[in-house]
Amino acid sequence: MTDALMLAGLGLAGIFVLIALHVPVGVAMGIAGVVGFGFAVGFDPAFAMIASETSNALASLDLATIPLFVLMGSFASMAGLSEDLYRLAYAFIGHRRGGLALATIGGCAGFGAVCGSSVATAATFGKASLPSMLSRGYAPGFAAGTVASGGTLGILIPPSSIMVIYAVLAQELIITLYVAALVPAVIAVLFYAVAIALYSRWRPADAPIGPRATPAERRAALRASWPVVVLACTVVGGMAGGIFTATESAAVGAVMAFGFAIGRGSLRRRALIDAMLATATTSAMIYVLIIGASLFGYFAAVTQAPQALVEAVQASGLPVWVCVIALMLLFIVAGAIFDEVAAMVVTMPFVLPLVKSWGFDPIWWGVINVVIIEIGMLMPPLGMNVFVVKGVAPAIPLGTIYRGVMPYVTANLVRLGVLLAFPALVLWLPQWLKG
Amino acid sequence: MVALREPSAIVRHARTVARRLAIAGVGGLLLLAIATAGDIAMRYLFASPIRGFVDLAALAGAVLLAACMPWLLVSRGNIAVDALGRRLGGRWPGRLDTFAALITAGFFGLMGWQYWRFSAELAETAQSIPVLRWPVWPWWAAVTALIIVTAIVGLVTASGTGSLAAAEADGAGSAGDQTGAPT
Repeated sequence: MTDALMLAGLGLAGIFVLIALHVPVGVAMGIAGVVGFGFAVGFDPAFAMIASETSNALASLDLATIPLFVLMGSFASMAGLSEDLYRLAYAFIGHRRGGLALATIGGCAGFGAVCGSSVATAATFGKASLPSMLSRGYAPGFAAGTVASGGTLGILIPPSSIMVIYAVLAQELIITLYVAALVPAVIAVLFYAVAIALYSRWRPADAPIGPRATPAERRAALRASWPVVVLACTVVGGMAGGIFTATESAAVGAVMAFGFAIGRGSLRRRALIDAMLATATTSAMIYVLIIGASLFGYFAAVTQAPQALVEAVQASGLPVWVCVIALMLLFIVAGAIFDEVAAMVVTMPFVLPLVKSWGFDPIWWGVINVVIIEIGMLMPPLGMNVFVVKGVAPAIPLGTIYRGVMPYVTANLVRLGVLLAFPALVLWLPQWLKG
Repeated sequence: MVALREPSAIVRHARTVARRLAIAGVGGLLLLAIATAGDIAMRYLFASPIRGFVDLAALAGAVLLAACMPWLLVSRGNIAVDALGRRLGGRWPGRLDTFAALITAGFFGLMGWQYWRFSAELAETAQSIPVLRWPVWPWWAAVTALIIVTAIVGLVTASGTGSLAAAEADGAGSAGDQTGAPT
């Protein structure tokens, strides 16, 4: 092993030691990157790199989409757009077996188009649809599992904060990644619907039939939901249609959602300040993660460790599919130790060159990464969405919620298999749009 | 159960400063979003976008995001794994949290120092925004000031981190072994 490779290994080990000592993941990566670079090249250039590299992240217009999308989601939630969506879906499919669960998934998918966060989507629908399902006699586990799982659609359906992080670190276009995620998002909703249909057929008592909405109620639900349709079409359509850049689309979405919140009289001072502080926390946290990742990535590139890893894997003669499955397992294990997004960011300097060396498209890998993160958000021991729903409904035991998400985890694993087997499902739409 | 100490005046002051900066930062981002929407409208309706807006937006964005950093440390919003402290029990969660808070403050201190040098270099070389010809260094000097404020706030509030972590480990509880996932 060369000195540079040894140094990269020590850097990675340093990150894990610092993380174990409670140091934030982004800061741990930053320190390991600077110290490693200092030993590899010299401490003067290592210190200079701190400002030169991180100023690029701070002044990046691509990354500026993250706080703007977070703001948009907060204002959309404040304006009650999630309730409108749920009511709309409920009016049309609530009377079917499993209809409320389907309405929740449909509502989450729609809300995902105006909010790039899985946790926010789960928290919002935990309040919008969970009480309704429980009052209609749904089994608590199935109802809570539906909300937790529906919430994960928030990071797959554009706009998605995770995809912005991936796109920036992988140096890919955000819009291409968003377009690539559209077909997998439709597949996700369809697979969730199949899971609900099968589960409610198997356990009919867990998902009773609700009352049928009258035509007047349906018309009222349709009328009330125009803002969310306009918002989603403007944001996603504007980006996909090339009218706006990703940043402009996020800005327009934030302004429109702000306007809806004012128009509906739901913008209270206290709620506004809470939303602003939450936006500040989320945005700053993501920036620290990216600052750390760029510092460590720079160090990793100097050591040429990623190239050495590619050569070592190629020399091992292992079939590509074995390596891909090993990577999936690595992410699941890493996600169980810390956070799936952090796992993606920490491993990106090494994993992305590997994926490219196998001839895979980084856009496809980005979508696969998000699907893995979705699964991780539902899996023990650190299924973040499960904890969010537990926070909204403390009376439902954690184990019950974990059992409730299992039909959806199964659907997600099948979806992952389909996307791995048929990369064209991810790549054809961006390629078709490029002409 | 470990009782939470009442934060000292300086800690309360640091939290207030961080809170106000975060609100100003996000409020500024909202204004920036409105200006962006105006720029798009000017572009499509009058074929006349705001001159130099993109460059200005990037620099303003850097300052506004830097304003959110002190609040990140006060709200303990970073992704961190506290499994080791929980496993060790006793005073260890508090000790490790204080250690991590000091390291984090030190990291921001280092960043502040480097941003100081970076801003000074930009001022010396008289770098300017391409279209407007405005000097770049005042924006980065503002970022420097905010990063230094972050380091100071981190240092001041680090003392309170330990008792908070101990109280959480003792029963106040948190969702899992990690905090602050950006998902």
